[in-house]
Amino acid sequence: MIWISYMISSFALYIWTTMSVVCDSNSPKVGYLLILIVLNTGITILWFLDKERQIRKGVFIMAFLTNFGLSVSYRMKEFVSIGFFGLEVSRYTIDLLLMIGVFVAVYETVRHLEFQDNNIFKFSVILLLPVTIIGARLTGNKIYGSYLYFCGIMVFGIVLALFPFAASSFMSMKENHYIFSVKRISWDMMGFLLYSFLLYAGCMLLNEFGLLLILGLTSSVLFWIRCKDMLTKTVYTCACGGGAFLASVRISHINDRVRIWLNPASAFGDQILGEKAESTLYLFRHIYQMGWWGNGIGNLPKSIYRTLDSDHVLITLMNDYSILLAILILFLSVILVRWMLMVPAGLDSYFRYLNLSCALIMAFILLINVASNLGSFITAGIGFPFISDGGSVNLMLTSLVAVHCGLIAKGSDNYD
Amino acid sequence: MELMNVRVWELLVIGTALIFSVSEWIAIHRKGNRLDNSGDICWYVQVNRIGTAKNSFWNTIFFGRNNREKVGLEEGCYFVGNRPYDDIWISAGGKRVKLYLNIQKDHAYLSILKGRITIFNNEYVADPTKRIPLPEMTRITIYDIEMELFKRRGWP
Repeated sequence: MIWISYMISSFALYIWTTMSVVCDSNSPKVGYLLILIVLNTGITILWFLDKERQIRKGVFIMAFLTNFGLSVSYRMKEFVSIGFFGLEVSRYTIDLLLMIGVFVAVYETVRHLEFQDNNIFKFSVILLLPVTIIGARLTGNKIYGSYLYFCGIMVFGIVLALFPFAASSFMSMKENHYIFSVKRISWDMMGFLLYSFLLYAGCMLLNEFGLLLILGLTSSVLFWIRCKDMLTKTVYTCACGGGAFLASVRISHINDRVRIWLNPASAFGDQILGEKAESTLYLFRHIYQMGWWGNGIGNLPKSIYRTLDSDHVLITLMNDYSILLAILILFLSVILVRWMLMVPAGLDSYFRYLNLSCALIMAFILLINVASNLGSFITAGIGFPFISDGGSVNLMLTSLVAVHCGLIAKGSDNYD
Repeated sequence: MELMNVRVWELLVIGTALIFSVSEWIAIHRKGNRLDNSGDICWYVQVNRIGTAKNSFWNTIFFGRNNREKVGLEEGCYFVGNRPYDDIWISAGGKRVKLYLNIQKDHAYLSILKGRITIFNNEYVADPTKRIPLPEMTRITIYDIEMELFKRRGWP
């Protein structure tokens, strides 16, 4: 039933999109169809290879979301010619081919390699994150006030793809030494906290507060699970709360959003805040116009949001596709996170923390994007998983799902 | 007509997406096909009551506690004590007891945070700075409860 409903919805979405969005030539339509055939062929092969029926559940959801990514990308009408009979494809198509490659590579690596006891690997990953951040600061160019890239790849993607490995190295360390006594924090937990704060400081240097938020939330949850001392947890939480309060007061775009939320009526009347208030609270002011069935693909103009296909793709889905589809997509995304939280029994603690970190990052990215689109004080800049345009981020998310699939396969192999 | 055709495809996408969502939800929650999140059990703790049996109405009906229980432990740290909010709750009478049990693959360590216990006729008092290594088949006596640790069979 899953395979049949997925296939029908995939090709029906293709027909709906290409009928709604008229292009100058048929080349983009052909390009869209070809990539869809490649994607669905891969999904079908996975269906037959996955005998345990555990991997397919999440990968099908990922593919379903990817279909909407292809559709939204086609909607934007920004095509690139790939020189293959002059074929024109959307940027997302090229990202999708890379995503398929990354998925297979990461899956096979995690499944077959036993790196949980390899200290060189662990140390290398731990070192790589600060190096990436410092490298971005030193070598990158400022884009909209932030240093976003390192060696042409978004820092957000690199750091979040590798952070689960670094975090699980700390989390799975044996507790043998403590600060003062076992009642207080162990040295490996203190090391994790110091490392996290180092990464936070790096994010502030880069002006990348979206990355800081995701790292902060993930680290905090991991720390709360691992640390046993309530006093330490309380002090840490107060410190994080204080940092968040400072951010809301000192960082202008966060402060603006907080002020808009505290008094929306006066914000609209304010000369400086008025334009920001319109985009922040767009959904609440215009939701009645969207209707249950959508206004048609291509309806929402770019004048409202420059980022119709990335940070604000959820509003595009609600306005153009339909609120019903947006609700189903959110429902499936929650199921995806639920699926990512479960692994087979009997895995090493390193792999269980690795899986948990991957699932937490996915969950928080989803949560922040939804909150941002709903107009909360949480800043935008984080796209919807697999639907938003953004090669580095989609590759990072694909690698997180591939890690989870690799751990499922590893658990099944161990059981055999 | 053109618009109506578009609407038909839209409805088809929404309808099949709904079926897909429900199918996925059922697949994730179906019994017998679910993933278990527990880790690899490396040690077992067996707890026996050596004092007066407590077979009260509440114990039997609501908690179902017997006079002997066995629990498998994964790698990690646990609070063992006689309060319900402790990770491993032992129904020991007397004053408050709180132990910090550090389970590793091939070792186990115990620290006494509150109360006093007896290990092989040696009495230990609360000292959070001290870690007591526990060899296999260690017997720990906590008032009217005896706790025994042993490694999982076949575990190195």
